[in-house]
Amino acid sequence: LVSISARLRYAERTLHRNRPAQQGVDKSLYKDKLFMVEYRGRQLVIRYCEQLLAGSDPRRVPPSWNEAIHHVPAGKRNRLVAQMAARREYLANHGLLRVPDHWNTEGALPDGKQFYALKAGPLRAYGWYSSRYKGVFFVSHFAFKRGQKIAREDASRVIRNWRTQEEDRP
Amino acid sequence: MTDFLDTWAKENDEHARLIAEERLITEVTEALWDTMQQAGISKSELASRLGKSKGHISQLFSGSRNMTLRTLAEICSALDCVPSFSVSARCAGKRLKRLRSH
Repeated sequence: LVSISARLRYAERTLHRNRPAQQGVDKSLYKDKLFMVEYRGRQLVIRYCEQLLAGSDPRRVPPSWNEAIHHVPAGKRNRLVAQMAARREYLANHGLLRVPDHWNTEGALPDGKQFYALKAGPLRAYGWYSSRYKGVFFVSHFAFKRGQKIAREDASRVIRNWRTQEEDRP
Repeated sequence: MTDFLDTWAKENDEHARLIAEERLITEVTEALWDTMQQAGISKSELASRLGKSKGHISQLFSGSRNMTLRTLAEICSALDCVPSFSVSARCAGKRLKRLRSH
């Protein structure tokens, strides 16, 4: 009996050791796939261009966000993440922002419409209202803004992403 | 469905608290700005009505300066409007649905 119970305890320990490892991988991948998709508000769906790239690791946040937030001093980081989250929530619920410190018209798209910046301190989420998908606001990418005007590479990147989402997709 | 910012908000109470603060600041400043636009009042005009600098007003609207309830009341008075305020449970709708289903 002693031997059987020892074997059972061993088997149980082995099972216990193996279980979290197997479940851990599957669960986190599944969970992270969900949170990368989009944010739905009462008026708009905020969709991220970066997450739509096939083959990217579903556990990662948009790479441009990681890059932009890296430039923010550690002490200010959480406040700015919260600002960005609150403002994109407002955008999704109300369809637009008005305060120039929260929102800015940044430039023209190839179809003559405008693209915008959602602002949180020096952080920007550049995007546009989709003509192709009703009620969708695409976030092209995030950036840490240094100068007064939008960087040329940021404007080009928005237009590239706009073409992919609004023109190229079948 | 949700995004990475929502996941960040749910990570801990500190993140949730920060978002609650920023949510209120965004809602209040957007409402004030909307009122100012409708009344055709600029930041400079509001600043002069309050006896403050334009920079002070900019900081209030950007969220970099804390807006006290007193300041909010002063701004509303300067804009000749009255703020309305209510507090409700965040999941009131869901709770009601749950109750109805029972």
